Amino acid sequence: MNKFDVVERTSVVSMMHDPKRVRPQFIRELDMDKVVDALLRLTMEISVIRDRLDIYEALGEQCGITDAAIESFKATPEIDARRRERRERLIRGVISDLR
Amino acid sequence: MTLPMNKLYRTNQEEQARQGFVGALKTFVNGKLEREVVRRYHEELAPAYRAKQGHDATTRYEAIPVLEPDPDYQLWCSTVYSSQDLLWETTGETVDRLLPAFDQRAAEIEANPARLGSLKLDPRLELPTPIANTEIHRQPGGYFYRQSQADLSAALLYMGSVENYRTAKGFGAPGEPCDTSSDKGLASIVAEKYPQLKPRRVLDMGCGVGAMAMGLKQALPQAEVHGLDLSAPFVRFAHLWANDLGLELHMRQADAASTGYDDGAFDLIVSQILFHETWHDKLPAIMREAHRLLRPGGVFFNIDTPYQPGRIGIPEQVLNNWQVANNGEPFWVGFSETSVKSELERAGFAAADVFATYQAMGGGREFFMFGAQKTDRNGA
Repeated sequence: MNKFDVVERTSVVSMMHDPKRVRPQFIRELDMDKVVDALLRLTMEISVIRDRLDIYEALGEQCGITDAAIESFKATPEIDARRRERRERLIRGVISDLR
Repeated sequence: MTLPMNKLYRTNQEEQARQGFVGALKTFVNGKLEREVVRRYHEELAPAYRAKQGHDATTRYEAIPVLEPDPDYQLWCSTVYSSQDLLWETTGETVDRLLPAFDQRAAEIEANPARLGSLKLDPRLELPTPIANTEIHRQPGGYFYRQSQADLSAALLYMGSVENYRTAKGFGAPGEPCDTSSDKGLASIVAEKYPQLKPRRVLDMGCGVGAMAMGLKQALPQAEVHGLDLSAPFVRFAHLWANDLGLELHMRQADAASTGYDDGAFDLIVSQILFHETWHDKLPAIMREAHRLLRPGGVFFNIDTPYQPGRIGIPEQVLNNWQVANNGEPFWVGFSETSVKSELERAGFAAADVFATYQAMGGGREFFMFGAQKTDRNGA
C-alpha cells in the first residue's frame, strides 16, 4: 500500500479539532468580563489591520503589485524586528487583560 | 522533477504570519509570564505559606497546592496549553498543504537505484509501551502516526514544529529548514573532550528526523554515519532528506535498547534529547546496548534537557511538573531524577571514564551533557 491509495486523508488541522481531543480546564474561576476585554481588543486589532491592508491592496493594484510578488516578499531584519516588537506588544496587552 | 525536500519546505506569507505569532506567544508565556509566576511565588505565595505552616515548602509536592489556586499560575497553564495547540494547528496547515509535493519527491528519490545510503525498516518491530501510546509534545497522532506505510506527515509535522521553535528563538533564518549548524557543533564539542578520538563509524541513537546525523556527516565527511529511531516515518524522512542534501546516511528503524548492530560496531554513539523522551525504565537497557556497540576506546555522548531538580528552584519544578502532566512531556521527570553517572557505571562503563556536565550549545542555550568512554585495555 502506498500513500496514494488513501482516498481521503485526515488532515493534521482536522486532527487538532477532533472532539476526542478534550481541552482540560486550568482556570478555576473564569472571569468572563476579562475574556470579553481580551476578545474585543483582538477584534479591534484585526479590524484595524484589515482596514490598513485594504489601503495597501488598493494602492498595490494601482502599481501593478501581484499576488506572486506578495508571496515572494522577504522581510528584512528591520521589518522582522518591527514585527516581533508589534506581536509582543499585542500579546502583552491581551495577557494583561486576562490577568 | 520536483524540488529537493529542503527547497520544498516553505511557509507562505499567511502561514509565516500565524507561526510568527505563535512563536511570539510561546516566547512571552514561557518567558515573561513564567517569570512573573515565579516572582509571585517567591515574593507573595511562599512567605504566606511560611507564615501559615511555620516552614518553607522544600519540595514541589508541597509547593503544587500553593501555586494551583493562584490566578497567574492558572493563566500560565491555560496559555501554555493554548499556545501548544496553536503550534500544532499552524504547523499542520503547512504540512497539509505541502504533503502531496513531499510524497511526489519521496517517490522520485525511492525510484532512483543510485540513491545514497541505506534505509532499513522493521515492520515487525513492536513499539514499546508507554512510548508507543504517547503523543510527545502533544503532537497530534504522535511520532509513529501513519495513515499508510508511506505517510510522512508525522515527520514533516515534527520538523515543522522544530522550525517554528528555531525561528521563534532566533536560532535560524526563516526559509532555511532543518538547519544543521548546531549539530555540526556537536562534533567539535566531542573532539574537544576526546581529541584522540577519530570517529570512523558513528551512530545517532533516537535520531528523529535526522538533523543531527546530517550535521555529523557534514562535520565528519569521512565517517560512516548511522541513525536509528523507533519511528518509521522519521527514519524514512531522514533518508530522503539526506539524499536531497547529497549526504550518505544509513538509517534504521530499531529500538535503541536492542539495535541489531554487531558488538563494537561504532567509535562514537551520540544522542540528543533521546532520554527525556523515553520511558526512564528503558534507560538502563539503552545504556547497556551503547556499551555493547562501542569498540574499546569508543565514546558514548548524550545531550539532553538541564532540568535536574537540584539545578532549578521549587516554583520552576512545579511548572515542569505541570508540563509532565499536561503538555506531552511524560518522561521528563523520570529522566531528570535519574543519576546518569550511576546508570552508566551499571551499564559497564568504568567510573573514571564517566562524565556529566552542563554546557552551552547552539544559540547559547545550556544543555545537560553526559556519557563515557569505553575502557580500552590496550590503551589505544
